[in-house]
This record gives sequence, C-alpha cells and structure tokens, in this order.
Amino acid sequence: METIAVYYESNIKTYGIDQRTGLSMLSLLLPLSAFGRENHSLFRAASDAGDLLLAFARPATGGGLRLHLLFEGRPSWHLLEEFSEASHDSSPSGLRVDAEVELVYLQGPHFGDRYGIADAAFRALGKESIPVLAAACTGASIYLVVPQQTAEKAKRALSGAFIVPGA
Amino acid sequence: MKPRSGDKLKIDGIKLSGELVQINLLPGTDFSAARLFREMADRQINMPLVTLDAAADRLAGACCIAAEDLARVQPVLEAASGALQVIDRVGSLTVFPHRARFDLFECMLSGFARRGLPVHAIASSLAALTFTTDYGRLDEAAAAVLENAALPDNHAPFRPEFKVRQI
Repeated sequence: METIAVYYESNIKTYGIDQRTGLSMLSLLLPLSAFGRENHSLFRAASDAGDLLLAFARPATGGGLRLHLLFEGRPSWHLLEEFSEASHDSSPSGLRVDAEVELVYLQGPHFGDRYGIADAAFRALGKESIPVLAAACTGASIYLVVPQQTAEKAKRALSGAFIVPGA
Repeated sequence: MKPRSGDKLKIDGIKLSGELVQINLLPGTDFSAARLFREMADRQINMPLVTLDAAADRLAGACCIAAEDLARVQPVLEAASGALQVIDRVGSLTVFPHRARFDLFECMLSGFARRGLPVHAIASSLAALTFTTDYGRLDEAAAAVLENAALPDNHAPFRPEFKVRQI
C-alpha cells in the first residue's frame, strides 16, 4: 500500500553549494548502433582519460543519444586524438570539446521529492544573466555546467535562492 | 568496462522507479528550459530527472515526471507541441554509487545494448548514475546491469514503496 507523507518547507534547504573549476566537457553523438560494441574505442579513450565527473545524455535528433562527459582538467591532445579517432572509426560523430567550463552543484534533503527545485535554480541564474551550458539532475542533486569564470557568481546567485541551515 | 570472467563491478544498490513520462525539449525551438521548469513548478510537478545541454544556443534535453502528473501538464504539452515530445511508459534505473566510474557507465550502456533495451536519457551525479528506458522492461534492465555488476550479498534491486509529495 502506498503511503503519502506531506511536509512543508517555506525556503528550499540545501546541504551546501559547491563548485569546481578547470573542467572540460566532451560532447558527441552516439548512435544506437554503437552501444553494444565491446571494447569500443570511445570507451577505451574515455577510460584512459580518467577523472570523469559526470555523464549525461539526451535523445538526439534522428536517433541515438547526444552524450556529454564532464572531465576534470583540460583534455590532452592525445585524448582528443583518441576521441577524434573513435568518432571516425566507430560511428559516433559530432565531437565537440568545451574546454575550461565550470560546475556548480548542490544537494538537498528533499530535492528528489519536491517540485520547483530546477525552477528556483534557473530563476536565480537567469536573474544574474548567467548562462547554463548543460545540466544534470538525478535523485537529490543538481549539477549545472557554466562558462569559465562564472561558477563563483553562480554560487552566489544560488545562495540567494537556497538556504544552508546554520551557514 | 573490461569484463573479466568472475570479475564484476561492485555496486551498492539499484533503484527502479515507478512509471514515468519523459518529456523531451527539442533543439531549435523558442520554448526554453526555464519556461518548462516554471510551468512544472506552477503545476506543482516534481521532475526526478533532468538532462540538458546547449544546442544552437538554446538548452535542449529531457525531464521525467510521474505518470500520474501527465494530465496536469497536458495543456503545456499541447501549447508547445512543436517543442516538446512525450515518451510515455518510461522508467528509470539508478545505480549507486557512481563515483565517476566510466567503467560503470560502459557496463550499463553495453548491458542495455546486449538486450536491445532502449536508452531514452542518462543523468548522473557523483553518487548515482541513472538511465531511463521502457517502464515494462525495468526488471530486464536490472538483470542486464547485473550481468557485469554485483550487489552486496542479500541486496536486490528495489522499488520505492512509498512516495513523498510536497504540497
């Protein structure tokens, strides 16, 4: 039997707002046909790169997924060559590298259950004209990829919309 | 992942969702992600998963809502039918912990591919990696992941038995 609990929270609480700088986002089109390839050169290249922070994807126009991989640091030329090679020999394509992006992220005790979290975050950033390059939210977390040198400003903007108890 | 006989990836948990509806925000339209989030918040609709990226300077992506909330968002879907695309009877599979492991991502992607399971969207955090697929195939999706990943003893994929709803 399903039990429905009810709670009220006048201001959205978060455990804290964090940021990371000096990241790179690699984006590529991954067709459905590429999913099952064992030892796919893309996977070899990415696993060699290490320091993966996030992976997220949306449906791509025409099928497959538009896949995004967020890495710590700048991608090496070697890695880019590997990705480029992967995109040629195993059919993912549309490789794009956004170097020097930044990440701001927050978790909340009720983020997975309540409405309005993404709206509050986007409103706060929109008010300060901070562009969002990408976003991934699952469970109780929101991750927002922003341009270089804007994470600090984004963090301040989000601090106005979310409350860290005791801070 | 580089599967080796008898050598499975260690994971701590698999969570399966209830029935969801995925709403895709298509690229190249005037309907913004911020507007979508506002409409959802105004209708008190929670989005347990969001994935977005900038396509042609506008954010495109996908979000999921509970199937029971579909009727409340129907006017928005009708008003923006050229910008929003619905995939109904979707479910999510979340694996914990993610810890930015590319091998786990590859394990899930290749497992889904082996069984011909669709991947409608992917989102991740540092703690969790979530795939959306057909709701009616969630148990099969869990089995696909467990072909190359292992839960601790006496653990099994679970579905939440109650729901928290904000008023």
